Amino acid sequence: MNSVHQYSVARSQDTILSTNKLIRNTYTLLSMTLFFSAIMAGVSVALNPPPMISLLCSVGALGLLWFVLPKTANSASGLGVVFGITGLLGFGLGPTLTMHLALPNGPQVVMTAAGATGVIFLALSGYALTTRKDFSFMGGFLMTGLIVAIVAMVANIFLQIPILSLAISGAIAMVMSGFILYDTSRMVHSDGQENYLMMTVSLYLSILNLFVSLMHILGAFGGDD
Amino acid sequence: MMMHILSALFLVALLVVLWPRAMQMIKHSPKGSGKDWMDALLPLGLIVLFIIFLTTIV
Repeated sequence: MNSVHQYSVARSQDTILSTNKLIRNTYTLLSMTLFFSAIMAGVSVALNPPPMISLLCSVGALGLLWFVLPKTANSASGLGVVFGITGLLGFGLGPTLTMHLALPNGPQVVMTAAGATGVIFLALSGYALTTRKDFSFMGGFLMTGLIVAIVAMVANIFLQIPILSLAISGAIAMVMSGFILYDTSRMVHSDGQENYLMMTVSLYLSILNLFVSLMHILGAFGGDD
Repeated sequence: MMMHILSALFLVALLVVLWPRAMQMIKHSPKGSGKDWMDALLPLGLIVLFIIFLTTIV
């Protein structure tokens, strides 16, 4: 009986250590990839490539994400793939940043969006980490929201309705905020079993999309005065 | 126009790849109680208010 108790205590300690290690590794890599991505975005703004580069970088990054990362996630080369994905997405952000920086108070819009993204990410991560609530029930809801938003985006490429574009950005900001809660909770409740490279990319995508959506919303409301 | 068509094709490809995972998540997500949803919607509601506040100061 006593040995069973000792075994369960040891297992529980192992689980806590594994979870803490997963959280530490994920946040360390996430901060490095965000820094690298910001440098790549700065290079892209300086080079001023054509808008088509955003699409090409997104295709390249998602190709790596879907076809290469799952095969390399458990090896050292997976780290290079993560930096490849985040570097491409950072570089692809260049034309969007250039467009927003050209607004009358563009630098303020971009910096406010970046600051707000940081505040929202820290607040939601802190909430999920400290309360340790399980948000796994949100998965289906968030995925439905994401699918609806993508369908609306496809429609608005041809319809070009400004208010719909703004509504889509608002919806994406909410869905990405939900995904930050969902992913952080997944990390806390995974007993350290999740792969930190996959968790990093997942959180990175939420942060990037949240930033772009906020920049669009703030640009629409504040860019004209 | 070419850029629009390519962007739309990219988003459709994104939908095609996301669809199986989305279906799996929709079917197999655990059900949340009313309190669970309140715990999730409260911080998201605060974020909506925060974004509205930001639009007034930019």
